[in-house]
Amino acid sequence: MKDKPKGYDGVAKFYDFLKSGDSRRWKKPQTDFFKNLKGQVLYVGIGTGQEISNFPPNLNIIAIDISANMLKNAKRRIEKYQGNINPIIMNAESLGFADHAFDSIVTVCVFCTVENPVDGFRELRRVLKPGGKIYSFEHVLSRNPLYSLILKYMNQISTRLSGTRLDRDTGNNIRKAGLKIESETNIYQDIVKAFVSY
Amino acid sequence: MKYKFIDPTVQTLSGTITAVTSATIVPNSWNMFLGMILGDIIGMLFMIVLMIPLTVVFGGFEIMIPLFLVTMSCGMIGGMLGTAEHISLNQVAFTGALVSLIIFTYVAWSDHKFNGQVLNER
Repeated sequence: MKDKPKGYDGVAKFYDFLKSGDSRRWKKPQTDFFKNLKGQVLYVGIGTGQEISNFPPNLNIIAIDISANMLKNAKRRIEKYQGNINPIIMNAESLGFADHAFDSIVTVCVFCTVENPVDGFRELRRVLKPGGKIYSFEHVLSRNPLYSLILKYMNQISTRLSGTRLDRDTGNNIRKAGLKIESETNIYQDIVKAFVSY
Repeated sequence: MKYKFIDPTVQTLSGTITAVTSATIVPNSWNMFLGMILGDIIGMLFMIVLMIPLTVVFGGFEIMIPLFLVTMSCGMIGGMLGTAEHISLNQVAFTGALVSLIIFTYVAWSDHKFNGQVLNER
């Protein structure tokens, strides 16, 4: 397994607190987005499991994260979920699953932290069943020059603080990995997006 | 629905406080350009200080984008107004609030324009 992203494991203790505003703000769009999840689900980058409450009930989920501290803090939410969640420490860039193992794959603000996002999406493509879907709720670099400037400036701070990059072109990375984008929905500006790919 | 009230309130208050602080700190013996430069630095400091608590409570990008523009602009305007002799702090506060609201309105309009599905290949 590759090293943990700098800062990500370290903020596990405060992660719930730091992301509480986003969790409240994105509850409705995430609940709408995740309602189509079905079959065997792979949840990439569970973190402290803040999105679990937005999942429909009765799913069979394998949840992975690179940080043991994050998974430890997700335990309470995993136990509370009305379905089955099996947490595993694993890197999204080298998944230890057989080919075509999952019907649905979920990522929420993961590909801003993954070191090589294209390799990560290639792995997701490998483990996705034919006819399966990848649901990615991610933030990307805006194409608006003014917002792009702000994000590049703030990227200097966020990369050092939490290992989160604000300058990723996730739509392009999905395509580079050989996946096809079925739909792309703007949640906030053209920065927070919901992608469905296969 | 609550964010329709919270977001403009947070941005307007942030802009007003930044403009008033900037105008108070900048000496009125300075010329307007120097006042604008110092005001910009004050705005940047306010942005960093306000960003952390506000994004934690109200969400990251929805606060970060307008707050960056509001604090930088209001810092500069406050600094410039601070060099003027016949402008009261109430007038600076009003200007800061007005500029913040204009910036917030632009960002909200831009979000409205972007919002929704941009690609559907089904």
